[in-house]
Amino acid sequence: MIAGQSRGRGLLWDAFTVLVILAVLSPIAVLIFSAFNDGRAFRFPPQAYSLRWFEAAFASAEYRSSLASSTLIGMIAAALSVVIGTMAALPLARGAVRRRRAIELLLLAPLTLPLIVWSIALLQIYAFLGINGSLGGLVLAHATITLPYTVRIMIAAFAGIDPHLDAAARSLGAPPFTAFRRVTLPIVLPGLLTSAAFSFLVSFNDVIVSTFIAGSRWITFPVRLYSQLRSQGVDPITLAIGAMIVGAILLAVLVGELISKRWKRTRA
Amino acid sequence: MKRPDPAVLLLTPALLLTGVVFLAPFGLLVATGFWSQPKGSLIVERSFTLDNYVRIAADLYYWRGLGRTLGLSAATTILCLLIGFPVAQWLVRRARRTRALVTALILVPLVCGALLPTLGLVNILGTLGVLNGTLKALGLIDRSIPFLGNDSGILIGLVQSFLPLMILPLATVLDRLPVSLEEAAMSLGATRPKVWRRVILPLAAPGMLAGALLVFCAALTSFVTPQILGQGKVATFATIAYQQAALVLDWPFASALAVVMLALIGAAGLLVALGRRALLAAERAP
Amino acid sequence: MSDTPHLAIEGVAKRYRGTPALADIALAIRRGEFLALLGPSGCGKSTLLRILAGLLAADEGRVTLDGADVTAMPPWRRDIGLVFQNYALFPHMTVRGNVRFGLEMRKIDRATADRMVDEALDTVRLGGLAERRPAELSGGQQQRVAIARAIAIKPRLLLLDEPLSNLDAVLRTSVRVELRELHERTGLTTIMVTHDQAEALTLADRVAVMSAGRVLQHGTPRDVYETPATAFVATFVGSPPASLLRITVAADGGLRLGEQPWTAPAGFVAACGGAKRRQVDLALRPERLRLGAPDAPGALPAEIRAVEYLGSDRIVHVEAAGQRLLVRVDGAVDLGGGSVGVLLPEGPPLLFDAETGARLPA
Ligand SMILES: Nc1ncnc2c1ncn2[C@@H]1O[C@H](COP(=O)(O)OP(=O)(O)OP(=O)(O)O)[C@@H](O)[C@H]1O
Ligand SMILES: [Mg+2]
Repeated sequence: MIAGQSRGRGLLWDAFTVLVILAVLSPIAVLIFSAFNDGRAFRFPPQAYSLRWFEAAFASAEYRSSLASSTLIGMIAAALSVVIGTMAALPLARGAVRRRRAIELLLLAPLTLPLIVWSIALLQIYAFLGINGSLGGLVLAHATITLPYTVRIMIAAFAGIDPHLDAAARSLGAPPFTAFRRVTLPIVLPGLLTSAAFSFLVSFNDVIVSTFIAGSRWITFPVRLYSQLRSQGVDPITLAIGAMIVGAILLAVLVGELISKRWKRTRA
Repeated sequence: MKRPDPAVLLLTPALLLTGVVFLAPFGLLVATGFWSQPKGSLIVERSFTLDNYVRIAADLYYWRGLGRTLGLSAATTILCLLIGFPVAQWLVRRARRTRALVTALILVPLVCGALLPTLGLVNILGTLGVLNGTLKALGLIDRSIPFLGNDSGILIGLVQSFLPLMILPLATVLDRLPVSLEEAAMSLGATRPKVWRRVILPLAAPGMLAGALLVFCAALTSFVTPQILGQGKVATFATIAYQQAALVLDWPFASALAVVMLALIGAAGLLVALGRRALLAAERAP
Repeated sequence: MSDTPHLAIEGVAKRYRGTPALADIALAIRRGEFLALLGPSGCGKSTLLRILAGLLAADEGRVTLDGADVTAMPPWRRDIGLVFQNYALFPHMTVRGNVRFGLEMRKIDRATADRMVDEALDTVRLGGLAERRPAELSGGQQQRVAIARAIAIKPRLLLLDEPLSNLDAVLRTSVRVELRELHERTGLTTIMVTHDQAEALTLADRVAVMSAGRVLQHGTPRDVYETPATAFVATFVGSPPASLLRITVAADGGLRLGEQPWTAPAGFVAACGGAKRRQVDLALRPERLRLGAPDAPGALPAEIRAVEYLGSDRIVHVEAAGQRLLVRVDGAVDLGGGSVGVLLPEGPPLLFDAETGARLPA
């Protein structure tokens, strides 16, 4: 702290930041909170609290099938994204590629170009190919939009590896696979897990792309929720399901943060 | 035959996915924007016409949608800059050990997708929602303020959704400025506002431009937030395009609307590039 | 006037979240003096410098500049020039822009400011580079820009934080000379932080040796070298620094080296007299020791363990009574065999209380 200045300035800054973070998180917090409201329509403050919407959520076969679709699509898309993205990240991180900047820029395009525009085009192509609303079509689209996350995370993960480490391990007598398993893998494992989690979540929660290419057979939860919100307004059952989803994400982030902190400390 | 380079083999699937599945459709879009579909029919006529663009240009409805979209996006960008800058600087200068946690928390709404946070926002901004309920309980208002179904709710929703897109690149840029630059400026006689004007602002400008472009484009093309928080009463360019593509099923017209959006984003990008060049030139000037 | 110090530091203390970084610092610096703050890494030198510049608020104590209390004055009002270890040049400004920055803050008109910039750049011999950017300069040139920027504002005090540490060895010696010349030309009261004792001894009029957040000794380079106030100062200053020989003083006043009784030179017993039943450390400067035959009268019998050849000199590592000592000998001297006798210097010995490190009166 600078001479001749009171602590007030810093505290005000802290308070402002805390307020902003709370505001950013408030929709998620209220989503969780409002799922415990007993009435059909949410009002604040609620007149009574209950778990009945959670019970209804578990009982609803309709939502269960869309959640199953979302999960399945998310898992396949994440697997594809992690495999393809990790393969691409390896040469990019080692810098062994010509036109590396251009390739990186190209691979990150789905993050920078508007997905709604792409979806309007994709919709027409899928319709022409007859794969609108098919499992394959959804998985392909989701793998495409999650790929840049994986590429980014894995480039960073690989860049953290000293290329001499592998050689050092081998010089100490480790066979190639053992060297990979004992040296490279543990270092990139957090990156792999992070990109898998990111890809899964982006796919699982995607509404922008899916709502365009959705059909009647494979309807993901966000697509169902969106069409329902547009036509009928908020169904409290979806509040309960949404609350569980964001609650799980919040928990995963906090646990992940805790683990990575501990992991860093043991390495330090 | 030459043995293929392993790097090329490793990169091929990713390049195919991005190049063919992602980028190629943009080309198709430009083509279909020049096709047409007679009213009431679902058969696309594949012959060149400017009808779609003429229809957009001739109807005040689209111009109004465009104006509203640009206004909302600009307002979102400015608010995100004003709110995001102090937070990004806080992350870099004051967060210390909480930095990773706070960054992760800021990212949470982003990975929750466009829909779930919006669902929560409906319960905050509704006439019986948390915000009105709290204001009433505090005795500040006695009749609910309508946030949903108009621009104010949409603006709140857009700022809330896209603030992380501003904070994170800004924090990255600010991270690269050593504190000693600020300290040097102060020791040379610069007060806090002067340090900010003469040292931090010019050096953070590239990050601000990058963040502004990200937020502006995200706001411009967002259709879930305006649809839900506008309760279908507020037409932005993206919600119109969504309707045409997914509900009306006039794909050539939807394509033309999408091309207009793309052009707007291109213009914004160009503007940012020009701004960047102007900054560099200004710095070079003696 | 000449009696009141230009800068006075009284009882300054600083803690970083409870951990003390500085404790009870008191220093008085005369106008035009060149002071070196010398100490090992982490001893609080930068912390003290930042408190002087106003970039850090002291928890306790007072700083007085030109007789006025500046403890609570923000940095931008202090008129103190500061040169950072990493130079902290503004990357988006030219050399001229950097040096002019402080003048613009003082609202000096453009023409005058430009003249002052040229003057400052000439002082550090960087006349031709005014329109370059910091990124287009070598490390040595960047450092001179940083100095020019600090002196352009005609500061009341010039603070330098490890100004030579980012320069290569050759450059370091030449910049060292230039710094001294600069000080003579400008007459600025200067405080330089360093952990290099040679730098401190050659450059400064006075040296303040710090350790663990305290000033152990404040005096001329000669004082610090010849009469170190504590065992730490003795072992930190000099190259190579003094070795310590641990001596046990028995109840009857007799001296022991390890287990063996030691017949020390005459002055020693008296000097250790006040330290009965205690241990004392004898500081031995390598350049004051000589090697002789193991059985030479008064010599300490020792074994040679290692020899470092430095060209003009050799540093001989010997072991005497289980303790290591360094001896500097002429590079041309031929060292025979493993056993030698270490001849102690004449004159009053440098003795320190082994527990507190405090100097015992000779
Ligand atoms: N911002 C800070 N927060 C907490 N502790 C700090 C901070 N700055 C310095 N310290 C601690 O205070 C002590 C003194 O630090 P200082 O930077 O003054 O040392 P120094 O003598 O300049 O060392 P060096 O020669 O390495 O630069 C150190 O132990 C350091 O770890
Ligand atoms: Mg330091």
